[in-house]
Amino acid sequence: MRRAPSLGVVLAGSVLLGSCGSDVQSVLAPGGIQSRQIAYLAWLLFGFGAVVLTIVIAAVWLAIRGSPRIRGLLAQENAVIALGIAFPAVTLTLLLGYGVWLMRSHLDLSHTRDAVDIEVVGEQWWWRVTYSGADGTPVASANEIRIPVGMPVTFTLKAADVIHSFWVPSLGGKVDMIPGRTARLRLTAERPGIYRGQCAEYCGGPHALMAFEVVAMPAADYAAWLQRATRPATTPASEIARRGQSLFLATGCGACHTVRGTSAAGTLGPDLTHIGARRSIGIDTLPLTRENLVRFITDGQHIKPGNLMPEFRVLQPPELEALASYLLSLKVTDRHG
Amino acid sequence: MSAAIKPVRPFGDFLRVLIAPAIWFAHFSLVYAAEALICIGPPADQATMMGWIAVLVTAAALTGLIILAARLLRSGNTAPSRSDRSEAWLRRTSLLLTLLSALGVVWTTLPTAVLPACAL
Amino acid sequence: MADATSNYPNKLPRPRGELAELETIWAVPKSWRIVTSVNNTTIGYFYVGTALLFFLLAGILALLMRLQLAVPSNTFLSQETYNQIFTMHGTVMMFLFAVPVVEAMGILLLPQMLGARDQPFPRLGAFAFWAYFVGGLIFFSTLFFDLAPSGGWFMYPPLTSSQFSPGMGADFWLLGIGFIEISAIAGAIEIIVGVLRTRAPGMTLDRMPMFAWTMLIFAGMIVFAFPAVILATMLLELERAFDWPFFIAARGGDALLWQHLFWFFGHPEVYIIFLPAAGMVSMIVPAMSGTPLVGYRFVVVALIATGFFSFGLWVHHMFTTGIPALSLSFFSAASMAVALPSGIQVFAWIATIASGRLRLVTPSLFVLGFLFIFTLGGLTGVMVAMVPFDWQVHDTYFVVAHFHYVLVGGMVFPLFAAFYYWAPAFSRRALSERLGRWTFWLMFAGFNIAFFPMHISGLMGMPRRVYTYPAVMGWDILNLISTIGAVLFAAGVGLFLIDLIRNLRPSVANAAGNIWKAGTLEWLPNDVYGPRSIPIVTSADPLWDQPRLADDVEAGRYYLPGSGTGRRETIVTSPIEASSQYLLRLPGPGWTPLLAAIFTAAFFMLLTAKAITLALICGVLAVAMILVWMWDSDPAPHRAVDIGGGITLPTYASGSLSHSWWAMIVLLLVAGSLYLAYVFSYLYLWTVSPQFWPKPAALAPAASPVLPAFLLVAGSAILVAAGRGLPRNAQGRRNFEILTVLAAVALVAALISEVSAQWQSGLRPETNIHGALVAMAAFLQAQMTLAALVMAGFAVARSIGGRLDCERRVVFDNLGLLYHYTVGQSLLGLLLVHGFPRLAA
Repeated sequence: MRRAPSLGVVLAGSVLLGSCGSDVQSVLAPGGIQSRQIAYLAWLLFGFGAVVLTIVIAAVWLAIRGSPRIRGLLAQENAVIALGIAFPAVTLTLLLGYGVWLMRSHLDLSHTRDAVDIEVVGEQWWWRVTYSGADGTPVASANEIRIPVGMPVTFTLKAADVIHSFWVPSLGGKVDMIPGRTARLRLTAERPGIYRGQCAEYCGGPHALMAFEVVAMPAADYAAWLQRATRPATTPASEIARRGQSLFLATGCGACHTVRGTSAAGTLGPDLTHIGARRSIGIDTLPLTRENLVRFITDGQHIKPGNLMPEFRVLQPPELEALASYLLSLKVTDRHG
Repeated sequence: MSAAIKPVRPFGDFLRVLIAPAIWFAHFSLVYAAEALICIGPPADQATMMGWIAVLVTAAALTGLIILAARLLRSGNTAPSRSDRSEAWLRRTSLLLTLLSALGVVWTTLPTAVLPACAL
Repeated sequence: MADATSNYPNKLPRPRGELAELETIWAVPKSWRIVTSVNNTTIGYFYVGTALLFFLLAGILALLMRLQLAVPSNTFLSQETYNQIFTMHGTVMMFLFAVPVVEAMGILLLPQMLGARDQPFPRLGAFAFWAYFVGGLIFFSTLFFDLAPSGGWFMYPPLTSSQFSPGMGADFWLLGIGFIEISAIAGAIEIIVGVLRTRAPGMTLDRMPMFAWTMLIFAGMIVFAFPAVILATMLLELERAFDWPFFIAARGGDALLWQHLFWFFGHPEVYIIFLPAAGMVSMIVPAMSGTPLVGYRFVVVALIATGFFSFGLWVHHMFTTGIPALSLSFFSAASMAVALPSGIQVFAWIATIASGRLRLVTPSLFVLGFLFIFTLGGLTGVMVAMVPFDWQVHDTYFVVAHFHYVLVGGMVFPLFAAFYYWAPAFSRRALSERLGRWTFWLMFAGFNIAFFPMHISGLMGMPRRVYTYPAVMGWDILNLISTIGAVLFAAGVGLFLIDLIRNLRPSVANAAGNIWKAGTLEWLPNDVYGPRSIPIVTSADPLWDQPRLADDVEAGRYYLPGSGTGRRETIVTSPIEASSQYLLRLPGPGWTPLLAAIFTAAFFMLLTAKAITLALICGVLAVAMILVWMWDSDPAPHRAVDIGGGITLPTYASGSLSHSWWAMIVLLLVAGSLYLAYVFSYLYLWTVSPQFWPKPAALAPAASPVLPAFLLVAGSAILVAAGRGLPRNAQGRRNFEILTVLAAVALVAALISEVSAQWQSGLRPETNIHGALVAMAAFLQAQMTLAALVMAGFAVARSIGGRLDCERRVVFDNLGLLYHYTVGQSLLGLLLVHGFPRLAA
């Protein structure tokens, strides 16, 4: 399915990118149909740019240092017409045509049926993710999106407060999330993996930290995962986790957060029903560990300055311990399905 | 030294140079507005309506530009006052602008042949 | 040409005392009183200097940002500080450096280049400068009080609404920038009238220096582009202050409206900045190659085409907002179209270089650097014009790299070339060639090292406007390289400052002179009064084609070698062929422009701080100062003046011959563009949320607009009658004054009747978008009514003071233009708010 880019392109790419490691968020390391098409376009454009730049530099060089005959040719108004009008007119017509054709093929991709529907709402400064469960019940999550490989996924994009922009470079272009409007984006992952996305429209405060991950998994795994994710949270098994649960409810966490199956039904903050199965907490670079959970609860303003969750510094270490145990226990699904 | 006696060439003569790019702008605004208005209407027939409007508006714009160019070329051949430098200069400037504007009109129209109206 | 050289307009020797009189009349006020100077050279120096100051300040902000991003997870700057700094960097660079510095260069260079003695409106120029100076400094200093805006330089609502940006920062931006835009428009009026009407006799349009062409197009674009953003800032400020929901989706507003209006200004803005810089290049390349510009006409065509095409690009910045693909592709096509004129210019410069011999001195180096950087920036511009590619790189560092290549390459490099090139015309010493080379290489290398890697970091997924990034992203090496490049670039600028300190000794009279052997008029021997006598121009490079021109001009052989009326004056010529028409008497130094600017700035800033009473007092004082300065303008006709060569020029002109009439027309074009932007907003918002438009039954009665419409038309008729009865002498004044007052009353009554009809129908601006838009129409009508009212009062006062009669009538002519425009705009407004909802229903 994936065709390898030509050798020259690969060489040029590796020279450009050098040893600059990571490609989880790179336009030039496509993992989906849309991003692959655009990456081809990008390389085409770079080639076009290199040729034109070379022509201009050569013309300047010849104008200064060239032989009298060449300089005489360059000095004519005809040279201005040929190089300044005719040449760009032809090349730009071709480029425009190709660009429009590419848009057309993106549109055609959007028309394919039986896609997976996922709604993502940009909020200051996190992502509310809602899947549509097997029987149509909404399944809420946050900051982590799971998608099946090889199936078109339609993202319904909205904004809760200010403008955000949904962007997963490895899968395709970005689309703005604008209050009062609903946008759609069709992406198709071609290989399993973890792709990073980030808010691309400045949204104030910790905009820089508003990232998320897209986990592309085999279609069967995805279906099984969604099946499990639909279920409410289980009652905690351990004593400490049960203490954590009552603390969670007593401290008022439920005013903002939902844990399905309990009385916590707040919708201001992320849904925590299966938080124990997520990869990170608060920001995507903070792995979900007991220690980081506690830090986010007590010291969130240092991790993500300006985020809307107050710091719960009144909680004592044993209480935090219990709370963390409870939250980590909230996973009816295990990560690898 | 006859500078003050010669009849003054009105500024409108310069503004006429701007007719061609103004035609481009009118064409551009019309197709853009047409697309915007068609897309808030009922989804049926959007494509055909956009197609017709694009064809009509483009034909009108190109006709306008061609007439303009023809007039400029003709007045260049018949103008008795070869010596009137400003006249000749303004005419040649207009001609080149007409050419660029025509290219602009064609480029604006090109996508309507390929892309369906109102598709996101 | 033969008659020009053999048969001079004036004979030698010139009378004794003629030159001394000229010098006395044009003398620059001494010591601290220099702030009262209105002469274009003094104001030009101040203007360029202030713009450079803001370049340095915004540059320091850039360095702070580069330091923060040099390593991942840095804590050098806090998140909020960084957000304020990048907002201020962009805002200051665009609004306080790029546009003003170009206007400043225009004010400094144009009169000399065109062979005029000064700008046509010296006090307006001084006002524009001081308003910018005072307002700009106050705006910048908000950074030190943690009051700076942090919404990004394009201030997208709803992030900048009162809900999500409750502080004063956004208000400072909206009022401060709105006000600096007014200063830019004042400058644009000055430049348009200056270029079209004050050229030396014989300088036909096709002999005009290319810089003057670019400034003309520049100013014309400002007239049509800036009103859109002025309207946008008004809407957002009204929303923030009074809850008129223009951008609030829940009540029918739309956040995208801001983007449409902002970028309708913002994209032409790029070319507004670039064109004059290209004009500088078109001056420098021929001078340094010793040959006329190849393809002069092609370049003029390119400039005009750019001026138009750049208005079809604004959605280019909105490719990711979910607009239909076909609409996007229209803008993609226009983006391609605008690349053509740039291509024409680039190859015209190359052709010029090829046709002569390029001297590789500092200005040429900067021009070559510009060619490389700008071409690369233009090519990435073509790339982002490809919609699917833009979906990926929009709002990433790729775009940051792109627009810095275009703006720094397209504007800062030519500007530095211009500094090195024109310094000898305005300084006793030229700038140092040795330091200049170092400056160039540091800036060129530093720039590319700083910005080229950003293309790659953008492609690797780095969004713009992030205050930090995690190490795992692998962006750290590229960012470190960028920071090193930024430091190199800053070192180059620092070296330039040293060069300025060591060598710049401002002086026009004793300037180093034409060391490049250039061919245009600014290289004539000049003083604060411009050239001693005004030359006859017979080609595009007069100094090359008339080798004796400099000596003859200096000796006073050409037109107007002294003062004809005992005042400052310049020759007004016809717009296309530059035949002399009348002698314009210019005002001298005065305090009013400075004070008016200070009070205007105080008005806007106090308004931001919600000190309403104090703000209103300052506003009234500002208007008073302007009226005081206007009182002495439009002096009574003087006897005609013989400027030499058998030409006797009148000293007074009214109607469409008057320079003042032209300025008023330009001002009304600004007002008209503003109103069209409003009409667009109205219709646009209707397409977004038609459900908020009331049923006809809920509107103000269909008969209600009849009364205001009648009053408006009647007012126009009354004013025409007043014009017919302009007094020939003191006796006939009374009727004229009564009629003018009546006309003013009609205008106010029309406004009151419309507003009360809407109010009685239950319309409230904060209810929903329809209410807000109807209120906005009334607001804009009130704005024009107020202006017409002040001007009518002024005309009546001048009539009472014996300064207005059937001959000395410019003030009345201008009142007429303003009044009839106001009537036209108000009638259109009535048609829109009463007619459209019924039509749409």
